[in-house]
Amino acid sequence: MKSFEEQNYYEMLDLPTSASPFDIRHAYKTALQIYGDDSIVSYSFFSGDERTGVLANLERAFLTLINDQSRMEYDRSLITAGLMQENEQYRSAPKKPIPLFDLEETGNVTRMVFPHTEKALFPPVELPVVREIMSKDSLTGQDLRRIRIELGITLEQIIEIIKVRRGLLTAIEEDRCEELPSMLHLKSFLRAYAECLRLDPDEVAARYLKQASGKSQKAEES
Amino acid sequence: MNGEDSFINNIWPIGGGKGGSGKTFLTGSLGLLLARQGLRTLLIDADLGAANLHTVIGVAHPGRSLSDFVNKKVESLEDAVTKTPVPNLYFISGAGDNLDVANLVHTQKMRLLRAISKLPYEHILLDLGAGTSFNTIDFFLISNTGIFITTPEPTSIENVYRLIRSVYLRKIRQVLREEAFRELLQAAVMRSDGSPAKNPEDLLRILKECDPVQGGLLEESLRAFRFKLVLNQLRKQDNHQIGPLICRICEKHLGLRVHFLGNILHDDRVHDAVCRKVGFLEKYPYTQTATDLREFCNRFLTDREEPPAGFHLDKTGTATFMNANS
Repeated sequence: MKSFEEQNYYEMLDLPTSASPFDIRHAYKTALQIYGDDSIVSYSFFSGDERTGVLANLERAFLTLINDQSRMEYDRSLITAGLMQENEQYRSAPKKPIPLFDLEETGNVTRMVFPHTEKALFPPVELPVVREIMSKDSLTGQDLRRIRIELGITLEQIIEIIKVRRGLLTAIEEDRCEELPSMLHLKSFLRAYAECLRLDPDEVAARYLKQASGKSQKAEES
Repeated sequence: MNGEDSFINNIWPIGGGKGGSGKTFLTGSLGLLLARQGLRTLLIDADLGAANLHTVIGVAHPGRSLSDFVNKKVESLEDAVTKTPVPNLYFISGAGDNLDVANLVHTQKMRLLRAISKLPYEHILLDLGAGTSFNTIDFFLISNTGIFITTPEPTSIENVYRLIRSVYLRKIRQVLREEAFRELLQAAVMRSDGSPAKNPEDLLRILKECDPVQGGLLEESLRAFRFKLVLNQLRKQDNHQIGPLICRICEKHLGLRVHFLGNILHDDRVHDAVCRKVGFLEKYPYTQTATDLREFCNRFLTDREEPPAGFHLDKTGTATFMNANS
């Protein structure tokens, strides 16, 4: 154990050598709580002279470390004496704003994952049912549902991934044109849906929309 | 006491220097809580000549006592054990003694310490007396652990430092041979221009300068102590950081490891319970003080591992340990 006088300024204040000025101020305040003249903590622990000595040492330590220039010089003397490593020095980094959407830091971003089923291990187009449906010219909601069920994917899994409310997906699958959203949204939902089934998104969207627009035109004519 | 005996660490001397700081109350409460957890616990009232632990734990007239063993009325110390109303809690009274038991002869004391260290209990709590007489301090050196109790008042803190330094000095004396110790004292007087050394830590420093090998050994045996500290009778307006800071000062200036076990809130109902001779924990189990006691007991049980070297107060003011190998 080193006696107090033998300790370096960092040890006196119980600080790591990389402490920031904020830490230094805080440590000095705590030290005064311990060693101050009217402190109850060190009552009777030191004689009057000892306490004055300790306080003078602490003050010197604080004043040296809180000033950038004198701290750098002191650090250099510690490094040459082999008491401190170069990389343990404090480096003041300019403060940056905290990013609002720091995806890496929050870490709970769910990425789109294909629902793993046994049948989904190979491209779904190789299944006879799927191939038959995809060879047709147009694609109805019924057809999409059949493919989905054939692949063993539940509606909930798709909802989980593409975050669309259930009513919309059933409207797509049941071809209820009046409930469908705008063309732009519908197209992106279809693409996402197709991706979940590992089908070609552009193709699925194009065929479904062709079929749907034909149907709504008919409805308007009649 | 030989080296082997001093390594038994289920013996917990509880002392505090000042009278009225709550040593007996805390011993009784801790014993009760340990026994409730199913641990075979023995309380020994080692406050020779001023015993009163029996009153706190509700044994009004203990049959046997420590003095029966000291005066060889009973064959072994085990025969002096009294059962208490609480299962798993056993008790050796210090009461009912003849009045000269406070002045134990050295050989009697050694016999007693040896007997205590051989008792088969999971935890043995020694309720020590106030003051820093050799009797008290030798009980402290029976194991490498011990619990210091203080209240947040200058008088009590002064006494607890006094006790810690006395234990420190007694340990130096125990490790060194008698003539080596006398030489050391003389060397200290020479250095400080005729005035005797005031602090044991100064003695250790001088010893290290004169004889680095011996000094290093002694320092190591002092580092082997695992003391604990409890701050009792804390009022709401008191500084809650006093305890951790006391531990830090002991670590930094004496090189002794003292681990803080918590604050215990002052409660007038303790006085009430003692006056009515009922257990505080049974009568007022839902008070803050009772919660503090239970937390203290849990920390006492979980805190068996080696405490890290450095003590550090984080920015929120909470005391935490950090590894500072400096």
